[in-house]
Amino acid sequence: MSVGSAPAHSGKPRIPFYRDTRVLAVLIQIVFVVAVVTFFVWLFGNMFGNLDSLGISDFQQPFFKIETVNGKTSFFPWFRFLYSSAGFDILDTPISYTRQDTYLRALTVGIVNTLRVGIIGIVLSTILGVLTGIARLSSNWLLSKIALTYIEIIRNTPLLVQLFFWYFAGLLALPRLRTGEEITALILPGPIYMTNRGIAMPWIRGTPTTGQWALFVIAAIVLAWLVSRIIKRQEEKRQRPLRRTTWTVVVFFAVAAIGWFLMPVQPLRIEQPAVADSGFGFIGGMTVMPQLTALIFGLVLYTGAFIAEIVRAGIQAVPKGQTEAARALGLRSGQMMRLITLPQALRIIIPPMTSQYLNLVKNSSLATAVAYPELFQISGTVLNQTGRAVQIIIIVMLSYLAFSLVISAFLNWYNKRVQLVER
Amino acid sequence: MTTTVSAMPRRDERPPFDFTYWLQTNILSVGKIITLLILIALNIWIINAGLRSNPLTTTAVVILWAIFGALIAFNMVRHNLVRGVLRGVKVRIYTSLHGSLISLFLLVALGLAVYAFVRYVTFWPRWEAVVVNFRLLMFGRYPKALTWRPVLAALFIVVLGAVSLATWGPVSRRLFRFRKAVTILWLISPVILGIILYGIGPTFDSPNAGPLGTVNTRLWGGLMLTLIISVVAIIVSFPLGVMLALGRQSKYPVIRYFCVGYIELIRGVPLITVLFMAEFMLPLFLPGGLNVDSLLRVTVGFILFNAAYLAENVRGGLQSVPRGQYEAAYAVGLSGYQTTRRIILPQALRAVIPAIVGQFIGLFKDTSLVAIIGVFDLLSIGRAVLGQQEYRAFQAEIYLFIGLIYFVGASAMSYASRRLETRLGVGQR
Repeated sequence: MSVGSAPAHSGKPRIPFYRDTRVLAVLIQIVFVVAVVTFFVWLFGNMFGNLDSLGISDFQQPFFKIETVNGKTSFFPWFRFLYSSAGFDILDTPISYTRQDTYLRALTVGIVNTLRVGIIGIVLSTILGVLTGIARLSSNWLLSKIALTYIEIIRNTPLLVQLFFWYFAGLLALPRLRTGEEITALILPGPIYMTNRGIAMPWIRGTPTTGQWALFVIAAIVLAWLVSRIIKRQEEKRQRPLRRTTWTVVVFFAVAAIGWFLMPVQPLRIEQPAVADSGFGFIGGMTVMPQLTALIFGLVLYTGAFIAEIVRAGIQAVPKGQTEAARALGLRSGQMMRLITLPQALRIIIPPMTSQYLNLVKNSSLATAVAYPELFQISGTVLNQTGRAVQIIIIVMLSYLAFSLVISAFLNWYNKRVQLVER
Repeated sequence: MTTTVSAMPRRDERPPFDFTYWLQTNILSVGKIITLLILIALNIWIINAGLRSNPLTTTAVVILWAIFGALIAFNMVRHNLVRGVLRGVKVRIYTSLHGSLISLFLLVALGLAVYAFVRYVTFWPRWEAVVVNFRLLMFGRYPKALTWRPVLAALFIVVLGAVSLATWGPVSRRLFRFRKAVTILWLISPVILGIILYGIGPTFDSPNAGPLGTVNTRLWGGLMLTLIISVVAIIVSFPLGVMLALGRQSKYPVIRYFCVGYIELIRGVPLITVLFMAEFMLPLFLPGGLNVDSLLRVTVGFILFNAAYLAENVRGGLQSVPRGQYEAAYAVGLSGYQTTRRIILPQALRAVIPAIVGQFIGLFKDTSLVAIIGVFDLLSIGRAVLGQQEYRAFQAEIYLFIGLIYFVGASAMSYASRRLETRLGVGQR
C-alpha cells in the first residue's frame, strides 16, 4: 500500500491488533499450543523424576538403538525388558508358549487370545442380535415381549456383574466331573459334559483324507460360482428369474458330496468326548475352559442385546411403503426380507454396529475379572513382575487402538459398498 | 351395544370361513410343513420335559392354551370373526397356525421358568447373605454412627434432582427463575457432597471431632461409593464434554486437532486401561510426594473417559442445528459466545438428550469396573462378602442383588430421560 493512500484511512480508527480476528486466530492457537506443551512437559518431567527416584532408569537411554538382548535384536532400549524370560505360565496358549519364553511372546499370546475372543464374540453376537432383533418385531406378542425382557435386563446391568455371575454362579457352580467313582457331571444330549472344570463337547476332527476332500470343496465353490454367473447372465438375457440361489447351492453340495463319497475314509468325523481313565478331564472332543466360556457367553449375551436394538431400529426405519410395494409385486415374505428390507436396513445398521463390535473387543479386557489370559490380563501380570507401568500401558493402549482402527477401517469399507450411490 | 352390532356386517352378510384358503395359507407348502413338523417336535419335547419336572404347571399351561385356541378356532369357523378379549388374544398369541405353536412352546417354557424363579426367590434363607451384609453393601465401612451423612447426601441429590425436574417442567412458570440457582447448585454439588461425606476438621474418631469429622475415603464403599463416582463424574464430565465437542468444531485447526486426537484416543481404548492409567500412572505424572486420594484418581479417570464419549454425542447435536441458526444469530449481532450459549447449545443439547442419558447410564454401569483395580464399590464389597467362608455359597444371590440395584438405577435414569424429552418437547418444536 502506498504512502499516499494513508490519509484516506486517517478518518477511520485502525483496528487494534488485539481485536483483529486474523491476529487473534494465530495468537489463540499459539497460546493453546504453548499451554498444552508446557502441561505435557511438566507431566513428563514429573514422570521421569519419579521414575528415577523409583530406580527405573529405562528412559535415560536413547529411544532408538540397535543392540542384542538374550540373542535377539532389540531396537528400542526403553522396551528392552520385553526380551527377558517371562517365567509365568499362561492358562490358554493358542500359539506355542512356555514359561521360558520372553515377555514379548507372552504379550503376543495375549493379543492372539483377545483377537480370538473378539472374532468368536462378533460372529456369535451378530447371530444372536439379529435373531433377537427380528423376534422383537414379531407379530407374536409373547416372543416380542420375551425378547424385550432379555434386552432390558441385559442392557441395564453392568457387563462385569454379568461376567462374575456367569463365571462364579454359573460355570463354577456346575457339578464336579466325578465324586469318588461316580460321574456326577451334568450330561446334555450330544453328549456334552458340563463340569466346573470346563465343558466338553463333540467336535469335528480331520482324517487323512481331509486334504483331498478340501480340493473337492474348493472345486465346488468355483463351480457354484460359475453356475451362479451363467444363470445370472441367462436371467438378464431372458428377463425372468431362474432360481439362481437354489441351483448354486445344489451344485455346491452335489460336488462336495461326490467328493465325500469318493474318499476311502470319511474326510471328517465327529469325535465325542469321553471321560479320561485317570478321572481328570476328557479324551477327544473339545473341552472349553470355564473362563473362556463365561467370557464369551457374557460378551455375546451383552453385545447381542445392543445389536438387537440396532437391528430392530434399522428394520423399523425402512419405510412401510417399501414392504407394501414388495407385497404388491407378489414377493414372498422371505424374498421381501432378503431383497427389500434387509439391504435397506443394512445401510442404517452398519455404522452403529461398527461401534458395538469395537465395544465388544474393548470389553474383552474385562476377561481379567474371570482370569482369562487375554492381552489386558497378561499385561497386568507382566506389569506386576517388571514394574514397567509406562511401557506396558503404552503397549496395551496401542494394541487396542490398532484393533479399533482395523475393525473400523474394514466396516467403513463395507459400509461404503452398501450405501446408496446417489447421483 | 346396538352401534357395535350395526357397525359389524350381519352374520349372513359375512363370508363363511374359507377352509381351502386357510389350508393354502397355513399348511400347503413344503417349507410350511417342515416348519410345522419341527415346531410340533419341539413342543412334544418341551411338554414331555415339563411333565416330568413340573407336571402341574405344564398341564395348566397346555390346557389354558388349548381352551383359548379352541374358542378362537370355533369363532373363526362358525362366525369367521373373533371379537372382544378373544380378539386381543388372537392377534397377540394365536397369530397363525405356526404362531400358535410357537406360543405354546414359549408359554410352557415361560411357565416352567417363572415357576422355578418364584420358587427360587421366595426361599428366604438364601437371601441371608444379602440381609446380613446389607449395611456393608450400601455404605461400605463408613462409621455406623455417621450413617446419616450418606443418607443426607443421597437426599440432597434426590431433592436437587426433583427440583430441577420441576423447574424445567411445566409445573409452574414461576419456578423457571430458579433454573440458574439449580444449575449452580448442581455445579458445586461435588463440593457439597465432599463436605457432607468427607467432612471437615479432625478425623471423626478423635475426641474433639464435630458431627462433620473427616471420614477417610478408605472407609467409603458400597452403593454409596458407586453413586458418588457416578454423580461426580457425570457433573464434571458434562461441561468438559461440551467444551471438547465445541473444540472439535472450532475454526482454529490446532484446537480442533487436539480435541479430535483426545477424543479418538480415549474412544479407541478400553475404559479399564484408562482407569489403570489414572490409578497407577497419575501418581507418576504428578510432582513427587503429592499424594492424590485413590478414589479421586479413579473419578478423574471416569471424567476423562466419559468426556470423550459425551463430546461425540454433543457433536451429533451440534451438527443437527441448521446453519440458518448460526447465520441468524450473527445477523442480529450476537457475539460468538452468545451465539453458542443462547442459540446453538440449547438446541443441540435438547436434540441429543437420549444419547447423553444413555451415556450417563453407561457410566453408571461402568463404575463397577473399579472393582478390578481394588476400589470398594458395590460390586467390590459384594466380592469381599463372597470371600468370607460362610457366604461362599451365596454367589448367585449376591450378584443378583447387585444386578438388581444397577437395573433399578439404570431403568430410573432412562425413565427420567423419557420424561425430560417429552417435557422439553423434543421432536415437537
